[in-house]
Amino acid sequence: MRLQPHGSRLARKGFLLALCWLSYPCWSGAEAPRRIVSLSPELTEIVFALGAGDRLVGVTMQCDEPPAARAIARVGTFLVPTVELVLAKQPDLVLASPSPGNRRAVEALMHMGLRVVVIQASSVGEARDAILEVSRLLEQTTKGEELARAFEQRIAAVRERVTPDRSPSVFFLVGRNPLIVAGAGTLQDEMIRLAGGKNVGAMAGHGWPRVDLEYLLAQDPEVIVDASMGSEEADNGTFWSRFADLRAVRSGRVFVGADSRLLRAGPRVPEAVEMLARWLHPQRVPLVP
Amino acid sequence: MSQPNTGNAGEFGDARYLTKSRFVTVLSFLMLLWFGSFLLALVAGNVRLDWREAWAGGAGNVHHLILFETRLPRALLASAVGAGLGLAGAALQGLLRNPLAEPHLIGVSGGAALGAVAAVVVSGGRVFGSPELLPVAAALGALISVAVLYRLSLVHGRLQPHVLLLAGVVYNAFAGALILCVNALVDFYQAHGLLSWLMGSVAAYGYRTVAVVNVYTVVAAVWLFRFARPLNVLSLGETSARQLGVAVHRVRTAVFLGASLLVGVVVAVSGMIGFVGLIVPHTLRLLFGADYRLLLPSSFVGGAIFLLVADTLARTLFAPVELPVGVVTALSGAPFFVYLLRREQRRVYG
Repeated sequence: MRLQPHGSRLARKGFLLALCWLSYPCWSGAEAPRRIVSLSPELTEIVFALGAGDRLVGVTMQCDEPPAARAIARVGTFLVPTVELVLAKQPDLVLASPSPGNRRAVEALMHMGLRVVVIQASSVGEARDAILEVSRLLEQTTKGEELARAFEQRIAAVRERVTPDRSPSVFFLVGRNPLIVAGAGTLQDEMIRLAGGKNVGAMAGHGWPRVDLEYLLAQDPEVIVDASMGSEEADNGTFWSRFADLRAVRSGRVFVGADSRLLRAGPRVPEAVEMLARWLHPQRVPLVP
Repeated sequence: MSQPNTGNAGEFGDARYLTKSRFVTVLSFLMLLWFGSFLLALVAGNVRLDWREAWAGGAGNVHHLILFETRLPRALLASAVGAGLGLAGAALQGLLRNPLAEPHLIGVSGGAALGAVAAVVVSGGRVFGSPELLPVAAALGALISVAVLYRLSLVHGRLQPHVLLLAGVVYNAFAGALILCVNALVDFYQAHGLLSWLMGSVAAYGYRTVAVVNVYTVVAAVWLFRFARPLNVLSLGETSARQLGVAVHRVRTAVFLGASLLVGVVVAVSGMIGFVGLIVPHTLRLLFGADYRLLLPSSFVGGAIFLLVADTLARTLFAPVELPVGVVTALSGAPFFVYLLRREQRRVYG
C-alpha cells in the first residue's frame, strides 16, 4: 500500500480489533466469513440452503432465488460484476463462478487482496460438490454434508422409480428464434437422463446448438420442455399450437416456462429432476409436494 | 479530383484563418474540458468516496482501492483509447479526403475481430480463460489485414485513397459475415463472450496495460502531428499538393501506417468502440475549422473527453448494470452530431 495510516488511527484500529477478539469467545467460529458477496445465482442459492443467507452482503442482478435474495444489495450482473461495488461491501469472502465476462473483474478482486473463491457449478455432480465446498468455506460442514446426502438420495429415488420405464424422447429448448436446445454435456442433458428421458438435443451437438425447425419436426420428440426466456409471457400456448402435428403437442406434453430450477446447477437440482420425471413418467412419479 | 466532391463544408467552405492565439485558446479550452471530464470520471461512480480516506491509503482501505485500482486506471485507459481513436479518425479523414473515413474503416477492426474469432475457434472457447491471449490474437489479425489492405490499395506502387476506402468497406463486410458465421456455429455461451468483447470496454484494473497504451498513443500522436501541414495541402487535391512540393505518396504511407498501428493497439485492448473516430473530428472541424494543425491535436484531446464522459455515463446510468460504452458513444454522439451538421449547413447555405 502506498501510505501508512496515521499512527493514532492505527492504534485505535488495533484497540478495536483487540476488543472484538476479547468479546468473541469462540475464535475459531469468528474466522468463518461473515460478509459474503456471491457473484453467481447458483452460489447464492447454496449459501441460503446452508442457512447462511444473512451473511450475504452482495449478490448479482440475476440472484433471485430464494425470494429473500432479492432484498440483498446488487453488485452488478452475473456477466459483468462491478468491482467497486464489491469492494465497497468490504467482503471477507467473494464467491464466483467462471464466466466469459467476469474473469478480469474476479482476477482484479483477487489482486486487490480479497479472498475470492471460484467454484464451477455446471453439472449435477459439480452442484453437489459446490454445496460441500461452500459449506467448508462457511464452516458449516455438517449442514453441507446433510444437504449433499439429501441431494443424492432424492435423485437416486427418482432414478429408482423411472428405471423400469422406456425412456421417452425429450427436446429441451432455451430459445425459440432461433431454436436453441440443450445439447450433449449440459446440465439439462444430464438431468433429463436422470429423470429417465432421452435428450434428442444431444444428437444435435455439444453445448447449446442452434437447430432448425425441420430437425425438430423430423425428430418429433414425445416431450418438449420449453424453457426459453419469457416464453410464458410471450404467448399463452399459441406458439406450440402451430405445430399440432408434433406428438408432444398432440398429447399435451409441452411444458412451457423458464423455471430457474431447470437452468441452474444449484441446490434445487433434485427438485428439477423430480419435476422432469413427473413430466416424463406421470404414472411412475406422482405429484409430490 | 479522382472522387466526387462529398460536400464536406468544413473542408473547403470554411477558411477561418488559424492564428497562434486561436490555436492556443482552443487547445487550452479543450485541455480544461479534458481535465474536468477526467475528474468527473474519478468522482462519479456507484460508491460515494471518502476523499481523505481514499488519499490516505493503508491495508484494506476500500476507498483507496476503489480510487487507485479501479477508477484511476479506467479513466487513464478511456482517455488514451478515446484520444487514439479521435486522432486516427482525423488523420484518416485527411488522408482519404472522405468524410466517412473512420478508424474502423481501414480493416483494422474487422481484422482484429477476425483474429479474436479465430482464437476462439482454434481454442474451442478456452481463450476466454486467458485474457492475455485475446488481445494478442486481435492485434495479430489487425496487423495482417492492414498489410493486406495496404497492398491491395497500392496502384503502381502508390497508395490510392479511393481504392483503400472501397477495399476497407468490402473487407469489413467480409469480416463481419465471417464473424456472424462463426457466431452461429459456436454455442451461444461462447458467442456471448465473443459479443461482449466485440462491444468493447475500457474497464481496467492495475496499470500495466494502461501504461503501455498511454505511451503508445502519445508516440503515435507525436508521429502523426508532424503531418498536419502536408495533410492541409493534400486537402487541395493530389495534383495541387504535388505541385506545391508535398511528397504525396510518402505522406500517405506514413499517415496510414501510424494510424493503423495506433488503432490496432487500441482495438486489441478495448475491443470495438465505435463512433469516437468518426464523430469527434467532424464535430471539432465544424466548431473550429478544418486546419489539420489544430484538428489533429484537438481531435486527440476531444476523443479523450468524449470517451471519458461516455464511459462515466456507461458506468453510472443504469448502475449496477454497466452499459457497453459503444452504446453510449453512439446514442449520445449521433444526435449531437446531426444537430451540429444541420446548424452548419444552414450557416453555409443560408
